[in-house]
Amino acid sequence: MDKEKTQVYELGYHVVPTISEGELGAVVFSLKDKITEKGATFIQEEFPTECRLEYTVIKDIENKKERFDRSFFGWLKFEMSPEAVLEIDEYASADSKIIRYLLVKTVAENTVAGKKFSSKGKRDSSKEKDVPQLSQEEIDKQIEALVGDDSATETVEETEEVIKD
Amino acid sequence: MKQDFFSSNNIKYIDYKDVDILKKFLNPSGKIMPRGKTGLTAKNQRNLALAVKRARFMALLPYIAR
Repeated sequence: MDKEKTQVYELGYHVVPTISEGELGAVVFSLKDKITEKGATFIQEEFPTECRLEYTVIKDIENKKERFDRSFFGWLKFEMSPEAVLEIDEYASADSKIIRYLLVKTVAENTVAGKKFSSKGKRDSSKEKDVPQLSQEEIDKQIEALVGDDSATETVEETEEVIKD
Repeated sequence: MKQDFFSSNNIKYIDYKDVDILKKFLNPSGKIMPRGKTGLTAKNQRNLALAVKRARFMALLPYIAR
């Protein structure tokens, strides 16, 4: 293939959530097969994983409006000629198993940088680790030691630490 | 010279699939924040807007957040 006439594309797609894992593999395989048929070279890909959609997506399947709140989202990055990519666009739009897709020009380098910036909930989990887990009996014992025994200063100190935490 | 978020993190291509990053630049109702608030360069602000619009179309981000 002439390298000068090729372009890097990315096809992101949502597959219907109602299909089984075997069928999902078949959908992805047929899509990849179609792309390979057109002389494309794959650069990167991600197999579809289940995700929650931010709004209800409506798709006409066999003259019936189907609503989807979940889907399997995956993407493929490949290099092919601009003429051949139009056929991939047509194929993806005709496939009833694909709810929605996006075909965009991109770069060959890895563009997904998000995971190291997502720090949601990390602080909370670290706090939870520091808190010692005491059973009800242990708590009762420590309270008794606090109330009854004046000499048990060590236990008192331990309990205070626990309360502070 | 002060660098913007993408330049300082060495992100050259703003990907629509990076929803965690894109969400940093949306206000609580889901609108793209203005350049004055994001502190991005004009080029990165344009690329951010494109990535957010692509993510919205793919239902990875909401058009309107409640």
